[in-house]
Amino acid sequence: MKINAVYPIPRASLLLLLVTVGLAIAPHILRLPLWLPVVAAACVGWRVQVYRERWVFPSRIVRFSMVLVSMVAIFLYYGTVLGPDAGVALLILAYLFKLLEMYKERDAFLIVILSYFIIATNYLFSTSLLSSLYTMIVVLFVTASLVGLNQTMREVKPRRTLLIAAKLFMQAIPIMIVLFVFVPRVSPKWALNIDNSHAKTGLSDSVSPGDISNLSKSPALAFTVEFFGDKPSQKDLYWRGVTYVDFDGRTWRRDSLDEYSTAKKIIKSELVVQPDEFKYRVIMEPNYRHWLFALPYSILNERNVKQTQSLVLTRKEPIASLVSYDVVSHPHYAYQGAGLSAEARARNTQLPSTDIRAKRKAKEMFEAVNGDYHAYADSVLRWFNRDNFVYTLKPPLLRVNVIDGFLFSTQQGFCAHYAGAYVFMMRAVGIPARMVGGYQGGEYHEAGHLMVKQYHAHAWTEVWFQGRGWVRVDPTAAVAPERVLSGPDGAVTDDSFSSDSPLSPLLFRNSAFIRNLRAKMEYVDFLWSRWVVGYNNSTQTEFLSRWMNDVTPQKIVMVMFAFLGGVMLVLAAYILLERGRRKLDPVDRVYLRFGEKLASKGSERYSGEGVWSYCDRVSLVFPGSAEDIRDITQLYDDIRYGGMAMENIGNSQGVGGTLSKRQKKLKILFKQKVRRLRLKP
Amino acid sequence: MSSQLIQKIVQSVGSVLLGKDRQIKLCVACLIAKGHLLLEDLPGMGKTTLSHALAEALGMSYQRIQFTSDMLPSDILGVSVFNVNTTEFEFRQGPIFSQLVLADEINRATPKAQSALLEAMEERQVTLDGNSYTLPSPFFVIATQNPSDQMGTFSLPESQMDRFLMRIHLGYPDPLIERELITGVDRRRVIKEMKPAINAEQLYELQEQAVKVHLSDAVIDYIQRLVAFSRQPSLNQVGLSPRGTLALVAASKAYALVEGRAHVVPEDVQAVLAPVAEHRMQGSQDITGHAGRSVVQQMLSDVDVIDRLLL
Repeated sequence: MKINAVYPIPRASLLLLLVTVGLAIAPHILRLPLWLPVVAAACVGWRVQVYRERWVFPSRIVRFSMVLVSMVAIFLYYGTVLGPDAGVALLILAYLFKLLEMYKERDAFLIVILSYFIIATNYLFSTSLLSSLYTMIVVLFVTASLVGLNQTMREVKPRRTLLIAAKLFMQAIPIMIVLFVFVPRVSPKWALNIDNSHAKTGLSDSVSPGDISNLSKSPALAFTVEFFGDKPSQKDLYWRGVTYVDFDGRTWRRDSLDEYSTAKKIIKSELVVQPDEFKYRVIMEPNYRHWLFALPYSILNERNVKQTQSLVLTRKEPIASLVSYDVVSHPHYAYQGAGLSAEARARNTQLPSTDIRAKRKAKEMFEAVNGDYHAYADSVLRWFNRDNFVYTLKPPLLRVNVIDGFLFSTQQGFCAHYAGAYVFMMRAVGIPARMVGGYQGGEYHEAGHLMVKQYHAHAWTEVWFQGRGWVRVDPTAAVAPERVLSGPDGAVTDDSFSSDSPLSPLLFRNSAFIRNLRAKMEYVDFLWSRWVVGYNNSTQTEFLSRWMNDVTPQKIVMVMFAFLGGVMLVLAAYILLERGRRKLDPVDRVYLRFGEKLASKGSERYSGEGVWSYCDRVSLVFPGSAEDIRDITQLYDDIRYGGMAMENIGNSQGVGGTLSKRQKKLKILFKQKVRRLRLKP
Repeated sequence: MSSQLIQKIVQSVGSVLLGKDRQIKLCVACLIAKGHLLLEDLPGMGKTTLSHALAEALGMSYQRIQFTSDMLPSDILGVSVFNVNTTEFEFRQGPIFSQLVLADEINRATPKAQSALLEAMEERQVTLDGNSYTLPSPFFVIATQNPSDQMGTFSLPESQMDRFLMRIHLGYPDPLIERELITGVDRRRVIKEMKPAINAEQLYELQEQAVKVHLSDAVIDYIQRLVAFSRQPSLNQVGLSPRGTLALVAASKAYALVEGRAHVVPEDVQAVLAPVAEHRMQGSQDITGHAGRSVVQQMLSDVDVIDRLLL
């Protein structure tokens, strides 16, 4: 016969388990379909009703159809059942349904294990300090429900179970730290293919300035720079990332020669590099792209990173997690090579057949300066400066003839408009030019780190002059020099920079307190990224070599086990001492102190002598203190024997308040009396 | 209120048995804890006087059974007699059908008669010829016995000793008290003039109150340490049984009530420890049944009221 007995999960444990389910799902909620929280609430509610014996568990057919429907729903929502987003959603559904299948103890344990797993999936999406702290709290709750499952039905107070779990958790922390510091970091052989929909901010492969009517500026961190030694001045902080070469009249596209697979490595002998240098470390947030940011000309020793001929750093794998790399940059360099190859010249002067007016204007201006390349470049900049060009983040849309429209009718735009138009003007007279995407500037933090935010994203140009090589020209600076000197919000005169979101950090940037607080938080986040999330093989070696002159795997393992052993010993000693100490009630300890006081005057309490017998005996020896001794004994009697639970406890001592308050007060009074006792014969 | 009542009983009994206040309090505590009482001492120490005085003071109906070696169970429980008129057997209740039974010199009877009484004590009912007869409530047995080393005694086995909540020794009186005894009036006459100090309801109330006396964790710890101590194998002694532990708790609570407290203190436990524990801890080689006394002394002096053991 099949026995359908349902495992009666202890009440405290069930409560903790359901809270855990909620906590574990919470951080995913925004990524999940809207109906999923409803399903979650339904499953939890159902389980509660089952516990209350109002409802029964769903039948096999209901369960089966629930699984089928949810699979279809997930597929309809995400278009797939694979990948991190859909996978996590599916996992969460399975996890919720398991609640309705919790017949045996084993099922409950399975839910606990699944909870741990679901917590871990959160790290696929966020590794920030806050989400890590949150994860810790959820882990605490999961552990508590695991503890609860192993408790008897009589344990009904979830708080006590939580306390046990907290204790376990605290004991695990030192071991966690040791393992974190010492376990060798092995880079994964596989990488999760997080789809590019996450790359919502930052630079992309192509730029179409005419299609953007409202450039939203995100305050999210792009990367952090830690300078070792000298720092460059603000106007030199041009963090190069991408070069845009191909233009089809509407969209600028990334130079295909910058791809890692097709990239041609730079020929170092063509460059004359001055010895002055800046050394720094870049800690880059994941952007799911292949390019790294650095000041030109940079030297970087990393596996799987190439420096292309356009001086762009390109990496084999996309940056899907926090990456840090050390760079040495030489700001002064020049080309001495033979010049551009015919192919490169062709690519960098390529133009679409549109925008006739701009081409004509270019020719006119070129002739006006008698065909002098340098003078022409300057005159275009001057034109941008003189005419009614406006720097704005909310430019009008441009449908056709983007360059003409911008140069002659709207005359409003942001960096990409100016850079694009400038490159166009250069190319129109045959000067090789390209657009460069990256970040300009950054905010120095108190601690000396430079934080580069998404709103520092910028586009500028590079123009080829024979004999000088590629020269950086920033046409935006000609229109809005403040953009380069003081960051994007200085350059915009209208309110287009402020975000529409009520929670936008940009809203409060005038309050010194908020700004200060935000800077502090950013710094903490930076430290977290720098030391915890970014703790990889090289930082580990660097960190460990501070104490070990020679870091070898054997040594690391030995030291790790020594530390682990040490931690275990400390914990063992603590447990032993704690057990011994707990035997003695704190009130008893005070009473023994009272006994010691009397013993020092020759009236020791005999073994087995009750407190009242002792009181009577010593009162005769110290008649002067008889009253105090009596009071102390009475208090001890009240606290330890008299039933602190009695309603009128403490009334005789003049102690008022609620019962628990009176109990506390009595204990304090007792301690005070023993301390103040001066024996008088 | 309750302490006044108890005070009244103790004073009333104390006016008969002079200078034995401690023993009287123990006896009262034993009865409040619904336990049977065994008084053991040499002949002529006042056992019977005490038992009679207690019975009078509690105002209960009582019967006295003098145990002898030729006694039969029917002498205690009663007997079925053939009634010629009704041609039926009729049960004639024995002296045990009484609220208070004074069993004098219980160890003079043979084991057969002893066990008849002791079974009734435990079950509070009598079964004869297939019929059960319930004993009245409250039902107490106050038994007296001579020390087992005296002539013509049959010692009670451990299992039967266990039925008594307390075994109390009276001991010789103080010389001053003895002088009063010599010069004073006849004790028997005093007993006859005694008036009940309480009634049945009041006794019932006291028993209820005794159960409710607060027993704190600290005192429970102490009792458990005492019990654990008695069970050490090195003592060459049978340790206290769980029933013994419960008896100790019940007696301690009742004694605390007698002392006018609403909670138990270790002194209460210590006061009842000897009467409650001694007779439960006799070894197989213990002919006199008094080996428990030395263990109790050890328990009192070695087990501290405050647990200082660091384990």
